[in-house]
Amino acid sequence: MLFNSLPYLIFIPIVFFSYWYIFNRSLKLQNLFLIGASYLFYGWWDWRFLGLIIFSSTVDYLIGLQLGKTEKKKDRRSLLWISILVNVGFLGFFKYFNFFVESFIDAFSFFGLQLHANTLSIVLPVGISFYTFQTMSYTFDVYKKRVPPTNDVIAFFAYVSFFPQLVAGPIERAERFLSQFLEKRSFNYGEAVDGMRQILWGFFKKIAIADNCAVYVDQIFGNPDAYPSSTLFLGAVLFAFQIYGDFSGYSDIAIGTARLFGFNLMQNFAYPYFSRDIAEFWRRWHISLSTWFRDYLYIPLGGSWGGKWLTVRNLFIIFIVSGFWHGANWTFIIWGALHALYFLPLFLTERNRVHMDVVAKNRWFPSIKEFFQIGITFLLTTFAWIFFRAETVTGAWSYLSAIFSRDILAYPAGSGLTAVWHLLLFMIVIEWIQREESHGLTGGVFNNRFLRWALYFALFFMIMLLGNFTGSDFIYFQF
Amino acid sequence: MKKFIRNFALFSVISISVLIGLVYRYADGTIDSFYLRFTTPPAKSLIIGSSRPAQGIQPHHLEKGLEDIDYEGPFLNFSFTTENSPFGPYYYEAIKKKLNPKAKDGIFIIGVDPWQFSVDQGNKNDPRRFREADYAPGNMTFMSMDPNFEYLIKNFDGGFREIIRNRRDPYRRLHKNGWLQINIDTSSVDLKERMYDTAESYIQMGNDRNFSTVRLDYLDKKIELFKKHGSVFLVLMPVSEAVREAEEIFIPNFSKMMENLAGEKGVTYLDFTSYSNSYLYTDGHHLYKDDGARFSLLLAERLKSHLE
Repeated sequence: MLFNSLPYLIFIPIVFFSYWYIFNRSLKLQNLFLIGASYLFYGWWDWRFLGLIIFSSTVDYLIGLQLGKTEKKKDRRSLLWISILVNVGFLGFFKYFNFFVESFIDAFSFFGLQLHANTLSIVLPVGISFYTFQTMSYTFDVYKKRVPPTNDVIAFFAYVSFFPQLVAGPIERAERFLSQFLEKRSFNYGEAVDGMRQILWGFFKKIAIADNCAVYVDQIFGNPDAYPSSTLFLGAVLFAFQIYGDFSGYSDIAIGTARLFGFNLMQNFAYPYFSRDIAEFWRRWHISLSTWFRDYLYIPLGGSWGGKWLTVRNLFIIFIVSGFWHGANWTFIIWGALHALYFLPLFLTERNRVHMDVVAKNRWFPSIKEFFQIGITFLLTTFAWIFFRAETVTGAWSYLSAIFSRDILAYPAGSGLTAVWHLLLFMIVIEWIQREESHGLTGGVFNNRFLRWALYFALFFMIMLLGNFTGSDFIYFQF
Repeated sequence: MKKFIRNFALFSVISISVLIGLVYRYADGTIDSFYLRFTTPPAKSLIIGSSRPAQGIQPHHLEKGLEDIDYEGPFLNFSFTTENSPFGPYYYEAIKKKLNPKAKDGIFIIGVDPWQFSVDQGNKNDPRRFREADYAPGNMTFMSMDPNFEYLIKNFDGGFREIIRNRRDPYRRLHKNGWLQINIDTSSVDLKERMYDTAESYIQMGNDRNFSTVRLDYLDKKIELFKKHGSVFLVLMPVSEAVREAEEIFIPNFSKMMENLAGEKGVTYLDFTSYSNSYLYTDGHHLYKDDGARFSLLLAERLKSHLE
């Protein structure tokens, strides 16, 4: 079920009222109801793949219990590996099987050996990369004794399948999220209202920003030979906003929806395009994934404790694995590697932790230096997004070559973009004002009731009148 | 919780009311070729079929020609296109909803042509894979709602912005009675090209498609449905010679087949293909609007002779 679909519009009020008015008598009942609602939400796409979620949840629940019973290092390690093998095995089969087969054949053909192997027609289960990471994080944390294993099977299944964040995150951790299923929740007016605001802002970013940009991005990336380089550059910039609007919009809707049900999900985006360098960008972009890789891959690999070159190796590993996590394609691997290359000079000069605070704190505008830093960081990410968006490495390369070889000063094509530019400007201004807040519509600026309601109506009508309602999927569903 | 619900309800009621008002004000026959047909009440007399009757049978002229006849009008032209409304379960269900169940003495004109019985090759009789399954009217639940948000959400590409902007399309206007008016200059040199292209595309379509007995069964069902509510006429409209020849290749003796079916079902069959050269077409098979008016009057005359 998509957030921006008619079935969801019917689903969410029914679930909301049932949750607070019918199933609020006991915590178990409420959690059980959430599992049912979440499975319906997921099964709406394809009920057959519910089996995967149930299996993955069962495995990690049982492994968690076993980890709680044994102190033997060897046994604990074996249990951890079972969880990793099951979850990564699912990912490997559904997401990467064909990629490895094809890459293997390509590698042999490079040396003149022709191999014939059949790829499989595999449907990628929506959100598999998200929920497998979430269940694995539980087992890791129990293994590391950061959290005690839970005996509450209902709470655990609800934790894995919680519908607002099931298919595209934020990827939560047991430490802060599972505990929320174990405590009685009560309706909080302030949280619910702020949640609704966050949902509204999320829909604006998805329907008015991302889906409008998508129309032009699809045209330009679909036929790059037909456009001058200035238009190709424009296409890359629009994709940068498309993917931001799409994914951060999804995250806002997910976090806002969770708040309606009394849950607090982690912030997933913190205005990444206002970052002054790539290190800051990665502290602000897809935070739940980058911290997941930091905690469960980078640190176990030795983090930054093993000397400079070992750290460089670890950095490249997490960036490349992070790229590969997004999809079984060399384009994602190159995207990850590019970010590692961007990050490297900052790390080697020990400048990767310079910009820890928000830009232009307590000021209205950035300094000229900050402005250029933001611009350069944005251009670097945009350049890398070309690999992320292209279907093949060759396609990305020819797109890039065309940008730098043709008439960059020509007036870019793209009639009808005026409304999109206005919408983008509106989003940038609001997010700039809100850059210290958790989302675009919260905080002191909105204390004035008249201003607040005016903005709600303005956003609603911008979404309805200027939005694109082609019902397109969220990009991150495919990951 | 009460405060939350009250505020949310207030916001929703105000914004949705304004939106409905705007759509009601601006969504008219200029937004696309189908929308208005889903906003009118269920009708007691219907014209159904492909784009040929959609463009070529003008209810107001038909009604003018039938002034002396006692029947339950007014007519609604509920025809779409060969792709959207071929005979089959989807169109049948849509018609059932669009037909006023109180009709006792209506007139039902079923425009027939070979493509109304066609399916893509390899899919002779599986309705789940019929080409019209995901499009209007097949994907619609509410056939008579004004404004019809279901249609706008599922089938209108432009979004609400395009409705409010209400760009007047000089070439197309859908009337409230379902007639799709197309304004094309038939004197232009493009006409010959268009006629040639249409005939060619029909020859190609004949190669790509098969005849479906399921579709024939559903024509049967429609006739049975309409017979309960009034008089039924199967009408084969005039088309250019080139198109007629292409259609003859796809289903030889199509007219004879329809005549036999009408005979079996006890309804009237009217074949106008002998009038092919009497009319101007916008592309070889859609009647030019003035010729559509003449044809509608001729059709009324023929209906009258059978109804009197």
